[in-house]
Parts: sequence; structure tokens; C-alpha cells
Amino acid sequence: MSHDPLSEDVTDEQLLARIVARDAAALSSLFRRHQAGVYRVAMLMTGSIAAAEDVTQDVFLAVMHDAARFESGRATVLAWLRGIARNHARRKLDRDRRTVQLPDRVDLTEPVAVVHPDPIGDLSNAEEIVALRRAVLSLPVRYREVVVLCDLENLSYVDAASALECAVGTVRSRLHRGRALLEAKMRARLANGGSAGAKRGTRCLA
Amino acid sequence: MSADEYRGAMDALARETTMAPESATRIERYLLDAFESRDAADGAHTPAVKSVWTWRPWMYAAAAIVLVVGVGYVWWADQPPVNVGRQKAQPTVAEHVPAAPPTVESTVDRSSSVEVKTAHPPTPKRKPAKNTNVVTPSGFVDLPWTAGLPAFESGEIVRMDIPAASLPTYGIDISPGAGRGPVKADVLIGQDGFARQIRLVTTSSRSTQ
Repeated sequence: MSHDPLSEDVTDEQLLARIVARDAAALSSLFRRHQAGVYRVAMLMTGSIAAAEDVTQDVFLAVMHDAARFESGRATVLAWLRGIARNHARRKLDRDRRTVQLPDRVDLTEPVAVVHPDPIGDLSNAEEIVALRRAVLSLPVRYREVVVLCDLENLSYVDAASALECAVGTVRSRLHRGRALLEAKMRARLANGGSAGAKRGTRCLA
Repeated sequence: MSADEYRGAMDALARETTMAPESATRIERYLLDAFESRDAADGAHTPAVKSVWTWRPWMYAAAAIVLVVGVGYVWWADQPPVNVGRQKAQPTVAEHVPAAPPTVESTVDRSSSVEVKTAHPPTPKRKPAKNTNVVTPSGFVDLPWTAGLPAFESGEIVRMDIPAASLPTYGIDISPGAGRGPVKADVLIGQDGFARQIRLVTTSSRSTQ
């Protein structure tokens, strides 16, 4: 089955209206526009590729069934989708918490789609990004979701508040606290001599 | 870490956190299959919420059944094993008295409250009672002034000595030639502290284990 994506001129709200009217091409277009952002939220909330893919699929299944419930006056489609992703991710975290510890779910050997314009020059940078991902994943959930939405997805405070169903002031305070925690974690990592990979590289050069 | 460094690091993290293309393709195909199959199942002009409403009546019916069974069970569990009727000829304290043997043991303790105990089989730890009164929990008669009291639910039996001459006051007839000394009687005290019934104690002293 092939569904050609609709033109970029069609807005997200129009795509949702077409999904309500059973237009499969609209669902395909909406998925291609937003799957990356939804996946990012899910990945940085759950720390697991498999879980993030499940959440992404669940989000668009929810859109398929509940597109008519979207209220354009309350939030943007982008914020609405991230909010659904956050809710599904939290539900998955709650389900998996008893059996799997979150920090153990971040595996350096997991295959992550990575773009390397300059593979040699970005070798240490990749380790830094892995460390940053770990630091984000180690944040308490209430701070993590704000950091992910505002600093990675670049949502406005209003949109983030809409996605999280809380006040804008709450978003501001949690973001401030989340950033401080994240910076402290990165500073602690630097104080401990950086990543294990960097240490291995030092020993090899010596 | 400066704001620019933080911003750059976050942008890099966002760039690097992407779904594998094959996974994206697989999920998109799954979604479109689900979309098409839903169309086929519901019909092209059926509202999206229709499929949800089709199974809800079943859910309500199941919930109603569960509710009825639950309420019935709670009602049944709250019922006392046997109601002690106030107008019965031989009322019994059913919650305290086993089916067999229908005896109640109480120590000989004059004019004191006697806790009703069931007559369990003797156990090795039990001290032998030197002298116990074995009474039959029957023969209670309603006291005359209990008509306006609430129904008996639970209570205890108090053994006491009362003047034989006062027995007619409690609704017990005595023969003209009966003595005037004290007689033993069990008085059934209700949950509210009011005496409900009385019986004369027919004692037979015997030694048990």
C-alpha cells in the first residue's frame, strides 16, 4: 500500500481533519512530519529504543482514533502530539519500573541512528552526547520531561505547559531546576575525568 | 557549561536521537494497515467513535453483574449467623453456642459477669476445672419491659442471685409454696446494656477433666 504524502502547504490541523474523514494519506503525512519529534520524546523519557518505538506507534494509533478530540484553540498539534507521547512514555515507565531499572536501560552498544559528517572529529563528541543522554535520563521524570520538551523539542513554555497539563510557571521552575541538575551532573562527570572511552584513549596514546 | 554550549549540546543530542529508517517504515506501514482495516471493519461513513460505543453496553452489563454480586456478597457477609428472635420461645445466643454439644460453660462466680464460652473439646494445655456448672442455653423468657427495646444483636449472659419472691416481676411464675431465698438466674444483657431475657439456672455439679 502506498500513500503519497500530502503537500507541505497542508497544515497539521488540516491533516487531523482529514484523518477524521478517513484519509490515510493524511495519517501518513502527519507521521512523517512528527515521528522524529515523538520518537525523541519517547526515547529520552524511556531510555530504550524498543520502548520508544512502541510509544511512537501508540501515539499515532491514538491520533488515528482520537483525532476528532483535538482542540485547535488549546494547543498546537506539535504540542498535542508531544503531550500524548509523554503520557504514553510515563505509562510505560510505570509499567516497566518494577522489573527494569532505568539507568540500566541505556546501553552504549545499542544501535542508534547517528549522523557523522566528520566521524573522526566527532568521536569524542559522540561520547559526550551519550553522556548527555545518560544525564538527561537520570533526571527525575518531572524535570526530564520539561527539559526534553523545552530544550530538545524547542517547545514554547505555553506549548510545554499544554503538553504537560500544568501551569506555565511550573514549566519555568521545573526547567530551571532541571537545567541546574543536568549541569551539575555534567560537571561531576568532567570532574571524574570524563567518559571511560576518553580514559581508554589516553592509555592508548601513552 | 555556558548557555551556548548547553544549546549546542542539546541540539546535537536532538540530532542524534532519531529513529532507524527501517523502524519508521515498519511503524508507518503498521499504522496504515490498522487504518485501512478499521475502515473495512467500521464502514466508510461510520463515525470514528462508533467502534468504541459498540462494546460499551457489554462493559456496562458486566459492571452491573459484578456490582450486584458484590453487593449481595457484602449483604450476606454482614448478616449474623442466626438472628436471636425476641419473641421466640427458646431464644439462644447463636453466635456463642456451637451446634453440638449445645452447652455453655461458666465458672461458678456468684454475682459476677460470666463470659459465654463455647464448649470446645479439651486441649492438652487446658487446666482441669475442679467444679463447673454445665447449663443448657435454653429456657430464656422475655423480660416484661423489653417490648420497646431495639432488637437483640449481641450481648452477654450474667449470672446472678435474685430473690425468689421477685421472680413474678420478671415474668416467671412461682408456686405458692416455694421458698423465698435467693435463686440463681442467667440474665441476657443486650448490646445496649439493657436486660432482655432471663432464665432460671438448673445446675448439676459434676467434675470435668
